[in-house]
Amino acid sequence: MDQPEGRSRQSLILLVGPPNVGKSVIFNNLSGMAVEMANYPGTTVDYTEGKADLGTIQARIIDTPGTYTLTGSNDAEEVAGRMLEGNPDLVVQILDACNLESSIYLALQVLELRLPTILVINRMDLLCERGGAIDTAALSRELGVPALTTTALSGEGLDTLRSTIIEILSGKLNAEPKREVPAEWEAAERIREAVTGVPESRPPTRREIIGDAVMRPWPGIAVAFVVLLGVLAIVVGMGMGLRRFILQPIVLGYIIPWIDTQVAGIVAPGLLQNILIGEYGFLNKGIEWPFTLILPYILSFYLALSILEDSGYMPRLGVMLDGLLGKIGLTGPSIIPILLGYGCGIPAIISTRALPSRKNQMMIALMVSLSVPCVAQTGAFISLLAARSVPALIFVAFLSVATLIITGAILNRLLPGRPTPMVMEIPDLLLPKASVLAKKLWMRIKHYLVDGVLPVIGGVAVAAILYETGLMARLGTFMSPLVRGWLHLPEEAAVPLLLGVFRKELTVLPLLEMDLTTLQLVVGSVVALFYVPCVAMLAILYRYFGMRFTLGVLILTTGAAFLIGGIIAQVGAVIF
Amino acid sequence: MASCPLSLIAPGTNATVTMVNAGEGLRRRLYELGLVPEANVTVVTADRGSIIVSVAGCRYALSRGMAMKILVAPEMVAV
Repeated sequence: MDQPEGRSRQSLILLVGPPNVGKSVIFNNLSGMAVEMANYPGTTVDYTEGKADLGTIQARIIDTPGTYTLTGSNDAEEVAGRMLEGNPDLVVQILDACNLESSIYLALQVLELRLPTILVINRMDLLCERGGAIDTAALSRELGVPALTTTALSGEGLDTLRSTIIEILSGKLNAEPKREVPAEWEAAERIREAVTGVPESRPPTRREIIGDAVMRPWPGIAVAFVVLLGVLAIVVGMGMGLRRFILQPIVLGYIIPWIDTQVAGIVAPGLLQNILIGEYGFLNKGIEWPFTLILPYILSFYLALSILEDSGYMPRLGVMLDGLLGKIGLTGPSIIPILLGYGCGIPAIISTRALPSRKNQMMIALMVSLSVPCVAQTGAFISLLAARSVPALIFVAFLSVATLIITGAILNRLLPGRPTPMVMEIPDLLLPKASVLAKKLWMRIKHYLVDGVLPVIGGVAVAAILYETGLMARLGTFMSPLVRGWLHLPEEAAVPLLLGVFRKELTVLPLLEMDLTTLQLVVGSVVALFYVPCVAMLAILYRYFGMRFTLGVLILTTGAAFLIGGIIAQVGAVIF
Repeated sequence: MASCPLSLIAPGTNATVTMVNAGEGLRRRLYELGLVPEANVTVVTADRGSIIVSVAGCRYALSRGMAMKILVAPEMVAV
C-alpha cells in the first residue's frame, strides 16, 4: 500500500485466511462495516478496505479474498499475495479450526514473509461440536507468534482479538515471528498433531449426516426440488403478500394522496403539475412503482437468498446440479453466480471470478446478461403480468429458463477452452441466524433505496418531461417502424426502451400505464427480459471482460430482444 | 496393500492416498486441500456425477475424472 510521504502513517491490518473461514465476519466486527458474507467459498473475490475501530489507534483494515496458498495460481491468491507485499503492520492470519492442517500450511507461507502476525483460530464452535480441542499455547509456541481462538458468528473471542490487536499495534505485545518453520505439508501435519493430538474416530454429527444426505440422489434430488419450490414460494408468495396487504395500502392509501394534495396546493394545474403528479408524474409514479411493485420482491428474494447463502446449502445444490450443468459445459459451482444473478447481475459477474476457467466465467457472464432478470425486473414482470394472465407470466419465465440453457449450450461450443475438472469445497450446514439475516436484509433495503429508488424517480421524471413537452411523440414517431411496425406496440413504448438502460425495471413498469392487450404485454416483457443490461452492469462487464466482450453483450442482448420479441408479436398476430 | 483409483472406492470406505497422478497445476490444487500422499480420506458419497470425500473433517466434491487421478489404498474392514 502506498502511503503519501509526510502524512502520519496509519497502521495497516490485513486479514488473511483460507476460503469460507469467516474473514468477512471478523472484518465486519473490527471495522463496523457490513461486507458481503455467506456460507460458501469465494464470497470475497476482491479486497475490501475499512477503518478499524480500535479506540485511540487509527488503523486501516483490509479483508483479502480466501486463499489456500500464496503461489498466485488464481485471481484471489494474486490479490492476497499483492496485499501482503504492501508491508502491513499486522497480519491477522485466520485459521479454520475444522481444517487446521491446511490452515497451518497457509500460515507457514505467510510467516515466511516475517511480518508481525497474530493467529486466530475461528469456527471453534464447530470443532467443539465434533469433540475436538486445540492447544492454543502449543500452536503459538510452534509457530512463534501469538494465537487465540474465536467463534466469529456468535461473537465469541472477538473482544479479546480486538484488545490483543491494540496491544500489538501499541507495542505492548510482540508479534514478530520468533521461529522459522519451512512451509511444507509435513511441517503442517506435525504441528497439527502437536496441537490437537492424533484424531480419534468419532461418530458423524447430526449436521454431517444431514449435510451428506442432501448430496445423495435420494433424498438429495427431492430436497433440491423442495428447496427450489420453497424459494419460489417465498419470492412470489411473500412478495405478493407484502405488496397487496402492506405496502400498497400504505403507499396508495396515505402517501400518494398526501403528496397529491400538497403538490396541488402549491403548484397550479398545468405543465409543471402534470410533470410532478400527472400520468407519468414522478412524485406519484416515481414513488408508487419502486415502493409497491419492486420493494416487496427485493425483500422476499433476498430473504430466500440469504437463507440459502448462510445455510451452506448452495454448494450442495451445485453438487446435485453438477450432472445437468455438465451437459452444457458448466460445473456445479456455476450455480452460485446464476442464482445471485436473479438478485442483481453485478454480484453475479463479480462472483464468476471464483470459477476456475475463463471459459466458464465468460459463459456465465453472457448467460446472466442475456436471460437472467434481476429481482427488480422480476418484480415488475409479476406486477405487470400476474394480474392479467398467469399463463403469460409462466410463458415469460419459461422462455427465460429455456434461453438460459440454450445460450449455455451454444456458448459451450463457440467459446474455446476445455472444461476444468471440478473441486468444490463443501461447507458445513449451518442454521441461518435471524440476527444475521435481518442485518443482511436491512443492508439490501438501504442499498435499494439509494441505488434503486432514486434512479427510478429520475427515470420517471425524464419520462414525465418527455411526455408533457411532446418530445415523447417525436421519439415515438422516430422509433415507430421498430416499435409499432415490428413489435406491434404503441409508439410510447419507445420510452421504456430508452429508460431501461438506467434501471432494468423501467423497461417494464411504464407498460403498466399503457392499456395493452395480453399479447402486447408478453411482447413488451420478452423485449424487456433480453434487452441490454443496465449501465452499472455494463460497467462491471467492461471492467472484468473488456470492451470487445461488452460490445458483444450489447449487440447480442439488443438483437435477441427485438428478434424474439418481434417473432412473438408477428406469430401472435397470425394466431390470435 | 493394493492401490486403486479413488473413484472406484465404495461409499463409507476409509482409504489412504498413495499417489496423485496429475499435472503440476492440479496436483498443487489437491495439495492445498490436503489430498497428499499418506492423507486419510473417506468416501462420503459416490454417485454418477461427482464424488464427495472427507479429508480431515472437511468435505470436498471432486469430479469423477479428478478422482480417477488419485490413487488410494483402501482400509481393510473386518465385517
